[in-house]
Amino acid sequence: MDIEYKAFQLEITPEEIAQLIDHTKLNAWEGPEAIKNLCREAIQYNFYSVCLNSCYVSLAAETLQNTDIKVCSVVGFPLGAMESRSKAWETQQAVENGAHEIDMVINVGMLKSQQEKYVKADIEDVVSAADSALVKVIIETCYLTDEEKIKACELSKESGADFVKTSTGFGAYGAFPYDINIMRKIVGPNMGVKAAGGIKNFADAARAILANGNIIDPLKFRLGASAGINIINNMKWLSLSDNWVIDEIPCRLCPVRATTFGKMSESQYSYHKSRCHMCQYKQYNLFYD
Amino acid sequence: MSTEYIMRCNLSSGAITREEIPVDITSEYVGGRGLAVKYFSDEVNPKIDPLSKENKLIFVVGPLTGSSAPTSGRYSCITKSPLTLTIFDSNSGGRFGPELRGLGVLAVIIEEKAPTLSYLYLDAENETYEVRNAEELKNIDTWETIDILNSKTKKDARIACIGPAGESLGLLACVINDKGHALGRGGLGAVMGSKNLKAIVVKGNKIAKNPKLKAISDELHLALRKNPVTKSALPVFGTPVLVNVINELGMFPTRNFQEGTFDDAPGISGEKLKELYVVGKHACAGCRIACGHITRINDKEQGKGPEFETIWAFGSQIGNNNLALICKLNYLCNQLGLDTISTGNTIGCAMELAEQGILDSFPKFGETDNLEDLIRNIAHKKGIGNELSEGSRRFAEKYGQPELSISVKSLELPAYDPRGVQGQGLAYATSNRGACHLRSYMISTEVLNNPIPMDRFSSTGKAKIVKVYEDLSAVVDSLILCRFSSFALSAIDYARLLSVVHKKDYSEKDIMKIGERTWNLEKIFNLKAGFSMKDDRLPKRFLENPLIVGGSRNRVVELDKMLAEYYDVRGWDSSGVPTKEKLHKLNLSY
Repeated sequence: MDIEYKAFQLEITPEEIAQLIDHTKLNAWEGPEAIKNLCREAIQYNFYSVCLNSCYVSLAAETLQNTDIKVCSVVGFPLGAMESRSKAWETQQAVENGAHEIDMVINVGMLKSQQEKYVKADIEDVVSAADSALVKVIIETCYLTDEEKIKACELSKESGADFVKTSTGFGAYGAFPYDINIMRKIVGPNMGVKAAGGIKNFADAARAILANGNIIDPLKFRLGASAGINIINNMKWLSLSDNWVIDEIPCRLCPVRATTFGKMSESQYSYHKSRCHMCQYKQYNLFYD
Repeated sequence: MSTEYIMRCNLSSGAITREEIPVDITSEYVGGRGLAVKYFSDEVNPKIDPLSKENKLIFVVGPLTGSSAPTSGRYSCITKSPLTLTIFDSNSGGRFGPELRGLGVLAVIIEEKAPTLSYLYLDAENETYEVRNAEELKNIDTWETIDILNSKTKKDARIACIGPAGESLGLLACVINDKGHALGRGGLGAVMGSKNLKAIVVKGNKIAKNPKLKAISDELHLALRKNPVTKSALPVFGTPVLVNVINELGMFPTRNFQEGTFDDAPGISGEKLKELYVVGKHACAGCRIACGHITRINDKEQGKGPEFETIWAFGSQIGNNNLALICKLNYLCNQLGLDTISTGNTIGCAMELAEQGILDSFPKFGETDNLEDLIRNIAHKKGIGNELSEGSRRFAEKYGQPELSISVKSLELPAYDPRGVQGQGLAYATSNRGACHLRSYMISTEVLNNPIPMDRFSSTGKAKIVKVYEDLSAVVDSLILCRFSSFALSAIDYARLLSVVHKKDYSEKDIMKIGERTWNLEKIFNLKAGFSMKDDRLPKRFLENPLIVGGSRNRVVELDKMLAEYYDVRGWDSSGVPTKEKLHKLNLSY
């Protein structure tokens, strides 16, 4: 872990952080009324975009017309294991219905099976179908080794995608600074990184922003969160004291901490745990805080 | 700014008058706790006996009470506490607050002593304000008292009253409204009892709506709906959701704070309560969080609660794992008018004395057969109940073991062991009303990661954050809004609300200064009453004896380090006395 994290020495305004947020609603039970509310909230807080399932793209585009707020549709969500043609078709429909951005899920199984050509072609099909819409590739870090994360980022970049994104939010765990840091390093300064999944408050957001190198530019960094309003409201407390300092422990930044048996393959679980045993910071891994 | 009024009731003469509040006072103290502390400090000698007729009770609401502002259904009462001997405010929800606001006043100041047991009848609809005889209500419990008075006056009148515990002047007595909401702590029920005041019956006029306030309120309601604590944890499980959380962290006080983990916690958790006994929900007036629950333990017995603190007090604190019994004791305390936190804590103290062989013929931890009788005896001051009714500090001292009283300034600690939360430890020690978790709810930042997470085991930087919470809480108590609003709202939100109702701009800094002024005025009162830095202490076991097992083991509270920093942050001298410069800045004097 080589992230030097200075807790909340981040200088960012609520307005700036709002412009990094894809205001998200992806649960299966959410209906049209919830999507309209999502859009109203995005207008009220001036979030960068709303992120939703593809069947609601038209509704969101209509609700947000005459605003600068973008519509982002997930594609191949949440498992990414459907045929490439399906993803491409879903992308094409979403763009026709008004989506400005596409968050597609990579084919995790193929990636882990070293089927690199397949994975690359899968992404390329979506990039092609998206036309001028921006494409983010969800690599679902929770199921990958570090080597696989690196490979996923490289393939995404080679395929012409605009962003790599950590998680669907439906996997074993979400965005961790450790992974964000790796992704930024691999894709370089010109491609976007989106941290999504488990970003519930300002602390989580601040950690993600710092792990990404403190880049405050929505075309280079994005936060995917359903808790955007809470994140903004948390920030109202920052001005009340200069002492919101926490002694950050390395394990809070590391995904191994969230590794749970039963939510991922046995080999993936073992991979994480073995890494933890060898970590120089393992004495901090106390699970009662 | 509109002119606000107070009502002054002299129980001895029966005179009830109305007075204008000077505008500079509402501007500097707002309402609620701040306003009442100002009046109380100006009018009451800090050295009086709290149970003498010289003491006063100020029932108070705020400028937002009963409005569209989120969680604005509460009221407060300020007096000198007979338990702690400090100035003391207690705060309650339900529906009494908006009714009181409907009288067109911010506060009702109650003075002197009625010649016989009486109740105060305040009816704005019929413009009837009088002290009435209540002899027939002698020794009647609070639930029946409310029923009787509603039938004698108006069905929709709201009533705050005492039970037998308050009438017997027990120091653990509380005031009950709406059959389950309490001005719980500090023995305020005894002060009402000392004045022969059984109840206050209030029927107010409807409160006019403020369209400008509604626009901001809608926005703030949204903030509450988006906060993880107020959108799901509290509405689904209520405060008992904390049982498993706090126990997992090893800071769920067990057997009078000898341990921090209770093996049977899952069996008395919020989840288990919901599964077995919750039959409905209830909300305070105007609240959309709706954290309240109605429980039923059999065909005959049901009521509001228990809350987290009560589950602890009658659960792990006394070694009891019977959740139905906890519910039953909660109903019983509400009926008798007893503070559940102090009652459970004091019984736990006595149980430890019994375990040590110092107290004969008293149940030990986990022995729960006669608890109902014991609690009745505390309320009626019978047998050992007479000694327990004075609280754990006086009780433990009587038996030569003062360190077994887990209290600060004689107020019994609630359900968070400070060895697992450094900032909360400092907050207990510095609280102006004794060991209270709500003066500065550091659990929010240290445990619930809200709004900004802080390491619960670190004492670094905690003094400044404790001050932030203390000052902000004083403002929230002055507006008056529920403390739960602060999970999602901050000073700037409260400033916006106050700016609308006062038609005057308040900044975030103004808001924090109002809170700081109230805090310092309370401190001055306590200093004049004889308190000093030696009272800003924690029980010895938190400073010297680490917990042996659990998630908070091997730690003690680093109080001395934090306390020195705290005094400095407050602008007080090294002995905890506000400096002249600080007081001058706050427009106060000492």
